[in-house]
Amino acid sequence: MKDILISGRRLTKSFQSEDKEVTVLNDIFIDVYKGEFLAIVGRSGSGKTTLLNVMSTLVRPDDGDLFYQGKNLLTQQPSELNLLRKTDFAIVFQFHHLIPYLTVMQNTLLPYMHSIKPVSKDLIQRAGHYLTKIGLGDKLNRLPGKLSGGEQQRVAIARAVVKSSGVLFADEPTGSLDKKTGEEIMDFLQQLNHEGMSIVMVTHEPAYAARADRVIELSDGALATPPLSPLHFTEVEEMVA
Amino acid sequence: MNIFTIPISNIRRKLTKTMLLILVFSLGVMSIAALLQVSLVVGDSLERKLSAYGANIIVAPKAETLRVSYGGFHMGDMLYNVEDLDEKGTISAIKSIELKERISVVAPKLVGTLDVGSMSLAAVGVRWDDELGIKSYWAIDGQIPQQPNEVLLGHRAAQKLLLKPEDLLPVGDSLYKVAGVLEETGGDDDQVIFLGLSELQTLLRKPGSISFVEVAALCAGCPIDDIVTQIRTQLPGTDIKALQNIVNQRMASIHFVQKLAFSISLVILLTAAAMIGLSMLAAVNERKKDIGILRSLGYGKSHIFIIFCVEAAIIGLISGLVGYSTGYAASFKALDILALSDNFQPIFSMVQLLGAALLFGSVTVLASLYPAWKGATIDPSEALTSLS
Ligand SMILES: Nc1ncnc2c1ncn2[C@@H]1O[C@H](COP(=O)(O)OP(=O)(O)O)[C@@H](O)[C@H]1O
Ligand SMILES: [Mg+2]
Repeated sequence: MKDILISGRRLTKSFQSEDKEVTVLNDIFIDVYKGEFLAIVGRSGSGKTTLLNVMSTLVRPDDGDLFYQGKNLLTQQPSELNLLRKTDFAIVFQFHHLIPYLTVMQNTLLPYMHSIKPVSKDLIQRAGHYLTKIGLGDKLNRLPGKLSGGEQQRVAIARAVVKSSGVLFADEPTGSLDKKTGEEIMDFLQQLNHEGMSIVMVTHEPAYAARADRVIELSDGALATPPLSPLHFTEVEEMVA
Repeated sequence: MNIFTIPISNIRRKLTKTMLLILVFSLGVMSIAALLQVSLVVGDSLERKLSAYGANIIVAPKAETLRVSYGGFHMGDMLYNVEDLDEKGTISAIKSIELKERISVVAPKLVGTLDVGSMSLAAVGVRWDDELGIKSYWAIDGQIPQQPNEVLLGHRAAQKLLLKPEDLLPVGDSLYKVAGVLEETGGDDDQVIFLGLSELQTLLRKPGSISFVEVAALCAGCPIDDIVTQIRTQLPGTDIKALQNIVNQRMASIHFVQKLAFSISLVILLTAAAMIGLSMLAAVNERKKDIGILRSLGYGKSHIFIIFCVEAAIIGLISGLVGYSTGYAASFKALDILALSDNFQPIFSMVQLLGAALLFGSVTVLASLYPAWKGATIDPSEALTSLS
């Protein structure tokens, strides 16, 4: 059996909207296997983005547990989660993935610009190399505003690749793109997946979802077709170990 | 490329907005720098002007006085053992103290009595220029004596002698011309005859002697006690008194000017700081999505906080440098307008320039602490809802 990389148990999240509480995620059980390409589909407002943000530690669930490589992330310090997002997780959004006043190169190296210590020559070279490989070699010093939507999305994905993330979370990465560019991005993601990166992608395009190894569907905050029978914690831990 | 790349790039890409902020803050710094420079010069000049209204230090021979009173009735003090001072020695001693820059007028005097006809009158020998330096309030009917044989009469003395300007005054064997008569001062000057110092020295047969010296010192830069102590070391045999109430009054006026300048500066500074704070608050809201992206890449709250503070600090530093330099230039113009530029010059100091840059850098950072903290504590998920 394949290794489980991420494991969500009983994940629940509500938002206060005006005067009533809306339950966006309701008792979700979800597993992501190491090296797989998982697609999450569902209607607009079904909670896909919220689920992705919970898994990538950007949003804290109200209840439940979230394991990554056997560690319960919900009991970790914020600084440990920051570190995790810096090193292991990469997140690609539908829009506005880049900081508008930083160049393509700077945006790509953003994960390494936390400190006073300058980004190493090695990394700059690696980023330049990779950006050239994906056809952005002559645009390293451009600002995002001067790039097409597909190019911007590629920079956002390049950022995930350069830091050799273990998991890429992508929220409708093709949503703002035309069909041809969307196909390119999908090819790009599939290629990354073949090179070993685990990918969790939210999409509402059935054609793109079909390219994934596995598809799960969200409906009103619950899994429409439970892909797995709920496991007990001890079993999860055994599997991870 | 490091964490500073983020705020610096933002400042560079939003050049118009940044320039506008720097302009506003520089104007504030400029007004403050100019105001403080001008207030220093004005304080100095004001004190020099005030010193024309009397001396604040008296240098007199050491004298023993004996109070003579009987049955509660005061009959005056008896002076004994009074020696005159040496004119040249005393004056050069006073003018050679370490704080000599702070001494604006030295006015020596010889006091004695002259027999005029049947009357005996008090006479004071003065150096006219120096005397006018501390008595600019004198109003004279006629003019100030120009020749050795001319005298100036106090108001009451002229009345007693029934003399008016241009009249002649016989003293001993010589004949003096009344150059002018003082209008009533209400003080000792009303009762006496003023002569040239060397003339009176000859008449009284006391060549090179003086009775006491009045000194006008500027105290804005140093306590008057220091000046007094230094004169005392130079002239150990004399009695030196500071007229504290005169000094205090003058310092009060000068401090008023400086306090006023300081209060206005404070208001300008607070206004500028509030503007920076507000603009930073707007910037934080405008850049929620940037914050979301950074947080998603593992930037912690402290990183976001630092990015906004660095941005504010850069604006403050530049404004401090530009503002101090232009304020220095503006103070010349202001002093020109106030007609004070001839005598005094504002001082440009590298230390002050760097100090201004650091000070205003800190002020902008302080003003941005709250906005930066707000930015840092924005919930990443909230920041991200502004993404789609
Ligand atoms: N931060 C939030 N505050 C309040 N309501 C939210 C928030 N985020 C999401 N929601 C609500 O949760 C529901 C699910 O949103 P989302 O996860 O974005 O769905 P999807 O990505 O499937 O369209 C929506 O009704 C949305 O309005
Ligand atoms: Mg969504």
